[in-house]
Amino acid sequence: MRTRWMIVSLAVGALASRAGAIDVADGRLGVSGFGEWGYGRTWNENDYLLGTKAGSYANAQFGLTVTARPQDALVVAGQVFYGADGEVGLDWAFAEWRVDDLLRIRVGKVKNPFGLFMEVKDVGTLRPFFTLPQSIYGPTNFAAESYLGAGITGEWQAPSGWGLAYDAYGGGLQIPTFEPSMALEGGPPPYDFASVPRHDEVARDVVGGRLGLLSPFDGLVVRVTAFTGTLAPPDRGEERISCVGVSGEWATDRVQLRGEWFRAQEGSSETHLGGYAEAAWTFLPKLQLALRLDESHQHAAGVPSNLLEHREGAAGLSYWPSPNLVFKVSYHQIDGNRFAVPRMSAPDGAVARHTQLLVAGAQFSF
Amino acid sequence: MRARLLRLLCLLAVAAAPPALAEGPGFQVVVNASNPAASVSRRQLSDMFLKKLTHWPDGTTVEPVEPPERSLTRAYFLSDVMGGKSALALKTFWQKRVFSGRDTPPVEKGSDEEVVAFVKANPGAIGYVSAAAAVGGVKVLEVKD
Repeated sequence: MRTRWMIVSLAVGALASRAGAIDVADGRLGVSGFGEWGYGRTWNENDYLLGTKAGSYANAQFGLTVTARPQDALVVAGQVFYGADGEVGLDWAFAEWRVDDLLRIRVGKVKNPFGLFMEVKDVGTLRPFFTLPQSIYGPTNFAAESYLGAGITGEWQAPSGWGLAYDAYGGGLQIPTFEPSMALEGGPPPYDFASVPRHDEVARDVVGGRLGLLSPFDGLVVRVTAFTGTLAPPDRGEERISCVGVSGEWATDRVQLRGEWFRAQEGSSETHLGGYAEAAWTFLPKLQLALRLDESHQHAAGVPSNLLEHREGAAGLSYWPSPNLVFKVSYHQIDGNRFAVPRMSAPDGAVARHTQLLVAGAQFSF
Repeated sequence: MRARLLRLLCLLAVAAAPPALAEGPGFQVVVNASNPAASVSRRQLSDMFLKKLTHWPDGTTVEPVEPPERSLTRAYFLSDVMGGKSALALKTFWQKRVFSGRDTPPVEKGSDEEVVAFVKANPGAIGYVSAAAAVGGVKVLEVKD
């Protein structure tokens, strides 16, 4: 089954390298897609992203995006996601009413306007590394992929080229969480990290948005993202979650520089801080070199510090036969066990603090 | 020795450089014959093909249509109207718009004839074709700064 997934993904990728989005009915219906296959391995017992000590090949995914315009002012869009483990999900599905060029109203399960990458989180051809920085886009307790509710979006740009891009929404967020410290609540060592759930916490009554600066300079992006809502974890009472972040990017055909910083407060005692800086340089027409520093800190009372911290340095090399297909390899050095943990600790509860990860794979879109 | 190396470097630089586009318009902008517009600015054209300007003054939806991605006409248009934006930058722009569910790129046709036929059939359509293309049945707009 896994092998079949890989073959399908790579075959579609090979086709996609020469194809664009499929456009039917003169633009009234568009079909686009993306996918990837990747291999990952670590050099100790710690699992991190797609890497395991034995080496993992079972990392394939494929998504299809369909956009229909039944009327001039009405757009209906959706994205279906298939994972190698058989997971099938609806990433988003919404209807958009275009009032005018300044205002569009969106209702449904809508891509979350969060930072630089959340709306294109699964599309590997839009970033230099195979994976996104975990400090912002991992299971950090604040990064939801979509909102369920209603929102507005629009852009205003003056003749000078300066302007604003804005999004605002209200509703609910499904926030991915993974807290390895929960393994310590199961009793004395050894600690079973494999039993710690990777699940979505639902934030209700959320109000949020994103404000972006439009500039006359191609490739420059500056954004501020924020939201606040209510969480109701099963073991605690209701508590407020608030998050704010800033994002900046300068991207040309040859050079990309970007960085983001986010802070979230959960209740009165738990905070999450995350940030990264990334640079990529296309030094030959199809070859790109990338470097990234990524750091995340969680503050919670009574938890060993290694389970709350993540520091990562990564270097990557990519070969782009076309903008729709890329082959990537990257090496990552990780300090901390916020995201990189073994399935089971040593009998005395010890966990290796340092992890090395190698990732290689292909990503495509059409 | 140094002069020979310099000559070799110059030859390599010339060989690696993208082909320069000839002077002149290189394309003509066409709209449906019923469209009252007589001219369009480069800024308006850019906004229409990036779908930032989506309505004509009378409220009709703008429907941009383009020739094939690898055509010389497309290269002329990018250079003259889209502020020299590269094909790669434009592709990345549209990938982000498509996969975030924000928009779809303009309709792409396989030839000038197909672009003209699309414009003829759609009142809000605007397209561009090569300077030498036959444009019977559609209106050619003057492109202003």
